[in-house]
Amino acid sequence: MHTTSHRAVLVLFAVLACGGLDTKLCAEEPPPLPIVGNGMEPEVLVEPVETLEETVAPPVAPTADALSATTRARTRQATIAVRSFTPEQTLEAIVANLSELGGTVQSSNTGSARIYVPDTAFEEALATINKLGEVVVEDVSSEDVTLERVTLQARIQELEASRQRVKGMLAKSTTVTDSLAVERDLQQVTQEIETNQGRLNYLDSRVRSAPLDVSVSMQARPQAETLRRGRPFEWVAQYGLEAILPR
Amino acid sequence: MHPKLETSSRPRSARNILLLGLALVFAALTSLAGQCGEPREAPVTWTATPKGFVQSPEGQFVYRALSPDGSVIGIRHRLNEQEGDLDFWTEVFELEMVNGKGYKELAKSDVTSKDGVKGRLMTFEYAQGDTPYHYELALYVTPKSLVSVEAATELASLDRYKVGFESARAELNAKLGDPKDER
Repeated sequence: MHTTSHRAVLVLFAVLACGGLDTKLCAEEPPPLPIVGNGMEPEVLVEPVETLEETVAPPVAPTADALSATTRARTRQATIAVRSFTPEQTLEAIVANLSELGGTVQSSNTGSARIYVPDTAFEEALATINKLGEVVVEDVSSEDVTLERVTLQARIQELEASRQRVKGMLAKSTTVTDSLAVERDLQQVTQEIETNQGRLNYLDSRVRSAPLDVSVSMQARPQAETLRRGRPFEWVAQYGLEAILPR
Repeated sequence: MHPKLETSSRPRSARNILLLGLALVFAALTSLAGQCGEPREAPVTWTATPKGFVQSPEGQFVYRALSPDGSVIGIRHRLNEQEGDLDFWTEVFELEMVNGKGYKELAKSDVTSKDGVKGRLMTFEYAQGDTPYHYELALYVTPKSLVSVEAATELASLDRYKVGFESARAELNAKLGDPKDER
């Protein structure tokens, strides 16, 4: 009875172990495990439990083919400083206009905001801001993240395969010590998968939407020396707020 | 013997008074009739004072109106001695406001006065101290005259006076400064 159930467990283990790699290649039954004793005693797994170092494959660098087959991915961001005689209204107008382009405000303070816009609307967003205020700083940066994405994807695949193998080992382990050791390895692999997957998700979201850090400050009145000199029609200088507003 | 016909002075005097009264009434009616036949021409003014403003004349303006909080509409008239056209004067004023005074131009559009003179409205933004102001300058050019309608308010009050500013431009008689036979 014991023997039958243990054999079933071992078969299950074999299936699981192969499933993590490639089920198509595992049609053959794995070699029978050695049995110690007379067959009536509880079977003891003699196959040594692999360590995590042996289980987890080293990171694999993506090949040139893998890169060329992948769509190029890039992240973009911009820092924009705008001057206006009406900073509050200008910032409100910028937020409203970028929202219409599909943007969302991530954070907002007095005179500044971080707005994420769809990457497809990046140029239009910059043009919109240029229309709404006098842009004094426009710092746009872009980064190609294709290689990092492909590397992460490959790493995640490797780790998934390792996880399956570790799971297989967990099923094979019969002692508490072995089980605990394998559990630890499993947790470590899972954690590493999650870390890599998190980074990949972040990259993907950054590829889809770009952050714009916009700040709007009060436009200083122009200094006399910066203003145009020499007027062909002197009397035109008498027009404007200074002349018309009641004193 | 015929009875003596006596006449007193009292009835004669009453008749005279009656005749005098009739003459006065006739004269009054004649005068009225004369006036009715020649209708009086309504005085032409530069514009109609918008609701929320009162006229407050000031030297360099042919018309000026103020609101309670100091928002203002002013009309100036100059002879177009140089005979510049609308595009020419628009550029002169834009250069002055933007490059000369540092105003920020927000918009520019075509407008027409009540008497059909084409004009150009320029809208600017500027700050006096820390207070942002809205300033509008509309130019109307005839062969003889250059008429400007300026309007200014604190930006915070723009919604309140926007209609008044538009009304002052729409009611403008831009040819008022031209010789009568050329209006």
